[in-house]
Amino acid sequence: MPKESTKPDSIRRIEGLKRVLLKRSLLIGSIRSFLMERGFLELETPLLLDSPLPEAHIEAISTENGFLRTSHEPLLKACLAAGYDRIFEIGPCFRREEKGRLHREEFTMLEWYQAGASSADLIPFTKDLLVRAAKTTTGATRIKYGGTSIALDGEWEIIPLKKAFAKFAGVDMADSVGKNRFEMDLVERIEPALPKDRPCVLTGYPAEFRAYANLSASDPSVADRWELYVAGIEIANTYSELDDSCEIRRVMNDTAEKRASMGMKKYRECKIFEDAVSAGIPRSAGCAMGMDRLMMILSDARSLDEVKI
Amino acid sequence: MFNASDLRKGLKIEIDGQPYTITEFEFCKPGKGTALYRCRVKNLINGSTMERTYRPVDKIGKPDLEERELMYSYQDGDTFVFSDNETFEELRIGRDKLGDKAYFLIENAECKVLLFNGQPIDITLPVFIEKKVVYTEPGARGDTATNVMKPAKIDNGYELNVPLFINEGDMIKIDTRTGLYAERVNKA
Repeated sequence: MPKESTKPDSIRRIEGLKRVLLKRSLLIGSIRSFLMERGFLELETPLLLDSPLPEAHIEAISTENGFLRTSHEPLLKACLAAGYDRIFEIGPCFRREEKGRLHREEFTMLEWYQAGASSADLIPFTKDLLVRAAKTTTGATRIKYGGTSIALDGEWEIIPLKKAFAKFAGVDMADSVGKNRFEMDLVERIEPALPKDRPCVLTGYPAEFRAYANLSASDPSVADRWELYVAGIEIANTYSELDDSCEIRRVMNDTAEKRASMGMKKYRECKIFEDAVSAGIPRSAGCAMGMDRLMMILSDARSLDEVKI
Repeated sequence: MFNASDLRKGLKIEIDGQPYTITEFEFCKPGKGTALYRCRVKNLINGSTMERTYRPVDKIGKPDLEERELMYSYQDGDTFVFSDNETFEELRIGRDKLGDKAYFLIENAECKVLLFNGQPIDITLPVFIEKKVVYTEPGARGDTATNVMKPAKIDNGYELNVPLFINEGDMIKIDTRTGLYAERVNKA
């Protein structure tokens, strides 16, 4: 009997990933060089935290010695407060009970922060980053996903969510939020209607979904925040980072209350983030991008299992 | 009741008093919002499909489904009688509920019957059954092609397509899931 057939399925699965993992290594390398060439410093911050940053819909995985980080945000904001002005980190983050075709409890995330930048500055920057990543990984800036050709260096569609709700869902975004249907409408009506043949940036999330983003200066009913969709898949989330200490504390309290009302776990204060807030988080913009999903898009894969060990 | 986090492909749930199975399942969490569980579900009684999205706080009905292993005994007019080997209890299922599967019932065959609120709604037969071909046009001698088919009839009147080399009197295997010819068992 040939030797191969005796290998356990898990080993054969990893064996089958060889090609895509080679591309993945090129992808991570290209993003690293792109950011470093632009003066960003790569950091490696702790995975294990005493307490996670409270978020309304994210549960951390607890260990005997603390919590696994759900994002790089609290530590990288501590670095911003410490005076590092262009920083990034690529590494694993953990979110409990997030499992599916596009979710894993452990996933790889890139986050970068730039002091002094606005969230709008990060749109052309992210475009350049993706173009470079695609070129290095696939040899082209035009990719094919699910039979649709997408020019990453072509025009990106920028759609304010308020308009998207009116156009695609036929409802007022504020009504949708008021009826507690925002996510449902987003998933059932907006996302399927987004153009698939070009990257799409959704801007102006409702203030209720601001997380740790500033509100828009021109329209305080929405957050100064955007999300990038490529091939209909949400791959990046960008904020104008909330920098007013009082506001940050208010958001943290509101979030803790919201969590309690939903019966979610109560966390102690996230000390390092509190310290960053006390020291002062500078005006900045930051982007979080899922590396596994990006790899899926660049390799025309349907599920994270096809691109990740 | 099920919690939304219990949902997964293959799970059987109850919606508006009807039993469904989840045929497609997607976990999503759009825009830092709440988790959503998107399901495509198929009605276990009439086969119709629809989409349903659940939130983490939703409770989903658990259908009263029971799968019983029963033996097919005999036909009584348009009713087919099954019996439980342990309790000897009889269960009668009408032809209308069995559809084409009625043609594939063989005495003493072990079947799995799915009951919803005590009523039979589906039956799983042994995957392959053997039946005798009672009618088919003669095929060309020596023609062993398997991709060219011709009509044939089995002893209970069921019609299906078989390869050209099958002759009257041959025993063939039929896949009960599809109702299609599977292979020849032996020649007449």
